[in-house]
Amino acid sequence: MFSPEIEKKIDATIAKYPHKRSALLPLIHIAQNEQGQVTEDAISYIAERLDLTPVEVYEVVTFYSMYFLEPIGKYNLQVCRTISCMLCGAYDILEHLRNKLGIKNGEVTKDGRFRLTEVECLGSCSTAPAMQVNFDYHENLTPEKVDQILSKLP
Amino acid sequence: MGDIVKLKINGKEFEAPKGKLLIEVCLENGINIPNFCYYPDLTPQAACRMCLVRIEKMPKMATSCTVEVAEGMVVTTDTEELKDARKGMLDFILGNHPLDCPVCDKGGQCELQNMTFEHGTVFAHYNVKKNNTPEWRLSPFIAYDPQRCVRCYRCIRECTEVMDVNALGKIFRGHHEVIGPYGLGMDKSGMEKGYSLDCEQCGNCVEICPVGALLSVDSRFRSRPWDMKETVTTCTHCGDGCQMNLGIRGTNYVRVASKDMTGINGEFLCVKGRYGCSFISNPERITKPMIRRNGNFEAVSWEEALKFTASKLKEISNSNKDAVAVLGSPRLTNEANFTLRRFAKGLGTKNVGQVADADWDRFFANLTAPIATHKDVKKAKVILMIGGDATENHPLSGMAIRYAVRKRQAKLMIVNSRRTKIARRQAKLFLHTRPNAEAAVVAALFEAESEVSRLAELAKVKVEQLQKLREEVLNSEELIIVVGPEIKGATLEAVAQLAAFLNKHKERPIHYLPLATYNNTVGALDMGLLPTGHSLMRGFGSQIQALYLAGSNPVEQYGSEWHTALKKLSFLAVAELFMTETAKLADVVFPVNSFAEQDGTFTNNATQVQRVNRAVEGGGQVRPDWMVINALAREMHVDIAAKGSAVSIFRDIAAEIPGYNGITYERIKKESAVQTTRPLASAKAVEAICQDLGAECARIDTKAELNKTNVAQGEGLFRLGTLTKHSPVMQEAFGKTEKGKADTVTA
Amino acid sequence: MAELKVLTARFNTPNSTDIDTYLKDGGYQAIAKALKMTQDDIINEVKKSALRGRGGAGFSAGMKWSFVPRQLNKPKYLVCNADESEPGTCKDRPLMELDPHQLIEGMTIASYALGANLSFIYIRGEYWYLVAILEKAIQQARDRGYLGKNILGSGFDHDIIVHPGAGAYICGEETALLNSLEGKRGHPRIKPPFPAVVGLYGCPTVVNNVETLAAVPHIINKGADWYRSLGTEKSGGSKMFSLSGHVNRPGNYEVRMGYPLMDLINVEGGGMRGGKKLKAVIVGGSSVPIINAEDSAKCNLDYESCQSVGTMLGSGGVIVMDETVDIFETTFNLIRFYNHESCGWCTPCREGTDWLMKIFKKIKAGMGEESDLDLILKLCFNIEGRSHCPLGEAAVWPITSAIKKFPEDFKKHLRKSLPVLSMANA
Ligand SMILES: Cc1cc2nc3c(=O)[nH]c(=O)nc-3n(C[C@H](O)[C@H](O)[C@H](O)COP(=O)(O)O)c2cc1C
Ligand code: SF4
Ligand code: FES
Repeated sequence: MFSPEIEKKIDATIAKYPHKRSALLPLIHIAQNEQGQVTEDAISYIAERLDLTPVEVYEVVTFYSMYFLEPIGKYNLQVCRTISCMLCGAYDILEHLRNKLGIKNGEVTKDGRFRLTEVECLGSCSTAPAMQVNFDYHENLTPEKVDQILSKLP
Repeated sequence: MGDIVKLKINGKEFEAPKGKLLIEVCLENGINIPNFCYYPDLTPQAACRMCLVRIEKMPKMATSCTVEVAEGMVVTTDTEELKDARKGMLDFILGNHPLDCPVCDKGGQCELQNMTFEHGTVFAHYNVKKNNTPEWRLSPFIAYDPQRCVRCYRCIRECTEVMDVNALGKIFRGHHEVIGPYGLGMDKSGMEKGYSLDCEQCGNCVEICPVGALLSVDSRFRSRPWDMKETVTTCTHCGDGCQMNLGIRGTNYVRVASKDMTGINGEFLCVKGRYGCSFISNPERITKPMIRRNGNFEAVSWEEALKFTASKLKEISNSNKDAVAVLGSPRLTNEANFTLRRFAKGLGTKNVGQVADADWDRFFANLTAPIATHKDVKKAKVILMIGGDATENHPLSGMAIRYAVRKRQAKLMIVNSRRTKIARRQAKLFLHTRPNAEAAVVAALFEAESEVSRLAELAKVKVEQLQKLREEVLNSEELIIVVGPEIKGATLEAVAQLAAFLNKHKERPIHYLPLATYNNTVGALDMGLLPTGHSLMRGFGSQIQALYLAGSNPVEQYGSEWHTALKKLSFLAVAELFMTETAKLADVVFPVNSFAEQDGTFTNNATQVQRVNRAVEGGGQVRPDWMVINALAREMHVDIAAKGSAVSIFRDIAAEIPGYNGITYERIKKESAVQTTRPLASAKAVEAICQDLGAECARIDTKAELNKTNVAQGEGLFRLGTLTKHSPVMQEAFGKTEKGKADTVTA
Repeated sequence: MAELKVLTARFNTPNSTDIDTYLKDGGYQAIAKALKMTQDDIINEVKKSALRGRGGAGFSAGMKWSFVPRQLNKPKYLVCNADESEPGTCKDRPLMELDPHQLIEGMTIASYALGANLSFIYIRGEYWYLVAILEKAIQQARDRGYLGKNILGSGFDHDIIVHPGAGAYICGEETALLNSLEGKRGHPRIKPPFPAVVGLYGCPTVVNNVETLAAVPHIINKGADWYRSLGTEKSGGSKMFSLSGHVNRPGNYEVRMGYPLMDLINVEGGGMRGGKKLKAVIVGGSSVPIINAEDSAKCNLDYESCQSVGTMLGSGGVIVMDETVDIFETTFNLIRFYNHESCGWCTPCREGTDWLMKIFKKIKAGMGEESDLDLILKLCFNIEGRSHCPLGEAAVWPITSAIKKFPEDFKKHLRKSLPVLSMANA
């Protein structure tokens, strides 16, 4: 179901743990990073690899906020909305992005390029406000800085 | 465990076994502790927070459903603070609860209603909008209303811990969390996408749901609990014989439930028991006697039908008594089969029996240890299971075995030629033999060490495995031997002799559980009906000219061979519920009562006699089988010492049938299930046993490969028989599927 | 500058993440020393140092270690809690980003003391880029024999697995973390049994915060008395504080335990942004009660002093708010957070946070009434002390304290009771 080197990565991950079920979260990460979302195929595949029923995987997928059952888009803009960032202007950043991209929290732009996701504390409280573009941190944001960041994205 | 501790609850001294859950100690001593997520035998959760109590030296209130009692513990359960805390929880739960009690099937039997009632008006200032969530249809049998759900997770634990199915889970997080199968809520269209519960459809999750969140679709909006009459009776579908509450409104079937049942099965039922009994109200039931005149059936009066049948049988019997055959059935009550045998005796024919293809008569003839009840199995430490698929064909036995493994860490060893689920998931040791090679493994238990490798070869199992099995069985401290219906002949006899052999080696408690297929397979044998059906069939049209056939459908079950044989008869009378393929060949058809419309008894695979109770009056002119025979005998002037009621017939049974002495309806009423006492056979010489087994082994096809495919879920459970296929919801769910294809193997 | 450099000493060293620079700065000497000590000696030393858990609970680390039944013949595990998701807290991040070997050495010493041969770093999934840094460092340590089989010829084996979470605040709670690490939903477990006895895979397990473990090598190197003397009698050593909000220089600062809160704000933090007046401070991460300016003036950064002003040191996330802040808004922000992060396991937190959230929305929409504030307090009362895990309390303390300390900020959002129509104009 995955390319040979991803399969290799999956085997290695499972092998790492004393009990293979522990590999569940990492495996879902791997699948999502590959496919841009958690697909049904991935769920049945992972269930099979770890001797679980599909619902046992699904339970976990739906518990954690970093897993997405629908396409994330090319760039997932995860903007921290929690207190420290709020005090430093996170709400303005969000407002700016909503207007700029014409999408609301949880929506993807028509061209599938951006998803706007309000997230809770990213651990950037002292460098607030902050956002994560996929896995990359961008901090001490201002609306202008946000524009530059988006324009620089390939 | 074991030792007793003293503790104080609300100032009073109590004693309880150390380590027992505090909530259980309280409830057993009449101290009421409200709870949702607590459930006996399921893992504690501490989720609903209803059971809060105060325990001295603990900083916070504690959940009594998780605390184990200890010496000197001082507990209070009834302070204002605690009452307030419980009210607080009810506030939270009722906050989002739809309060649509008037249209809720659970209304009146709802734990949330009762608890709210008990705690008086809670301060329900829910002045904000409720989260409205749509109802989901999880399967043809089960619907789920998230808004009514109190998140006690009983259903999930039932599904994983008790059933070992793992089809239900917690989905989403926090206040979005719902209970459901894989895929629920995966996209906007949700269940429309065709996701549904991929499970055994036992409905036990519905049974233990404290509120109306999980519901049986077939009984929805049919009746309020209080205007339906519930009767405790015995399930008619398989040899386990679960006790069930049959709910009737007016003269119509409403539902089957088992909640709070003290019977052998607790609250357990399988898909057939819970959803396969609506056939009793099926309009296709035969309601009038019928005679076939030039090709098609005409409804006639009982009088006419009986006269006609009597004259036919007399005519044939006069020329040759043995030309008339009488076949009973493993699905009829003991009372019916007993009367049938008396009838045959009265007619003076030696050709009497039942249509069956297991060798249980040979098993009981060689039985060298007592039979285990399902409760015994739950307590087992070592279980040897030879053949059989409990999960699919004997669900209660399957549950009991799983319970022993889960709660008692029982050592389960399985010998089977197929990869059954219980073997794959529960067995500590699984000897997967080639088809029909169980004899070789059984032989290895009797034979000398030196033979093991040869026999392993023969059965196509690993030598070490067979060695291990041998050691485990020979050295076991105690043992329960479960044996399946496909084990036959000398192999089955040897299994029945195993206990005596082992005890010669070393005395130990040993019990058997024969996985007899039908609801009354054991009873029918006890009533003296041997499985002679097939051999008699070969004489149809020659030695045998007339047949009285009650309660079986061999044409659908065994096909053309029976079809042609039956056609050769010059007279066939059939007593049935439905116009089966077999009944269609009859000259006379008698409409008879189903289990729901009559009193009587069944004897289950644990040889326990249980009551069948009349839950509803039979519609039309249907009568109990035994009553038909009585009338027919009278018509023929054959004396069968006829009795006018089920209870008086059972008195004769108790007097005549070995093992039934001392059993009465009163006693069964009191004890719910009474096990018959069986004379044990004496031990045969090992040499003799080995010789017979040798012969069996010689028959093993050594070219046969292992059957590697897993037994599919539903192979037995979802297979429709004469009764289940006339139960609308079962027909709808499985009628079209491969698994469902009609076949009477399990009722 | 009262700033102290123990944990942060190497933050400015060029490529501080590299094992060579770590060794040059005297790294991995503590493990060499520890391996010559007995397990009990190490545990006692840590006890003596008065090192208290930096994850929030502030439980004595040495004490926790001593609860592990070492004689039990089951594997033991050490789990480093790097889930850092308490709002206002971002101190573990630089500790892993800038000095991973310090953590690895600390974990190895702890594992040796506990008899654990395998330990885990449970790191929040958002810190994805740190996984690579940590794994590189771990590989270096393996290559140099500080991890793996027979470490420094002592016969002691130890390895570390870095395990990314996937976005759930509750997985910072140690038992929820263990469930998550076992590949399950992050619901907290029933305690007792405590992880030290029945933890990961049912085996004895110690869960410690990153900062707690990072302090261990220094305690072994320079001794318990030295470490303890850095702080107060009851709260030993130094601690990192994440300073955020309306100060001129937000950032992570390491100071001695007992350091005055106002000094942190005015000296390290360079004072209030734009010279505004201080209104309120949340000292220990969002879960602790909020305090006003007066209390802040009396508050020192140690467990006891914080308690004396009615709050807690928690995880050391110091959130500073100036006069312009509307405490209703910040509280609303937090209840939304806890409502979003409630795991859903237990009734009071699942239903309670949802209900509270709805009332706050109502007030925000200008539809709130006096009675709603009473209702809020009543609901908080119904949650506090009755939930399955401390998240319940964590959700209500910020609310109750805010309403108590800043009632006017709530009142001003309430709707004036509707004018009664007089019969005249009816
Ligand atoms: C809701 C909740 C969230 C928590 N989050 C964290 C966290 O993000 N990081 C952490 O180290 N400890 C967290 N804790 C504390 C842990 O449960 C545990 O006490 C701590 O990791 C123990 O390590 P320590 O003794 O070194 O502090 C949290 C506790 C609760 C109740
Ligand atoms: S308080 Fe209850 S619902 Fe909330 S996080 Fe803890 S266990 Fe989950
Ligand atoms: S019964 Fe104890 S918390 Fe639910």
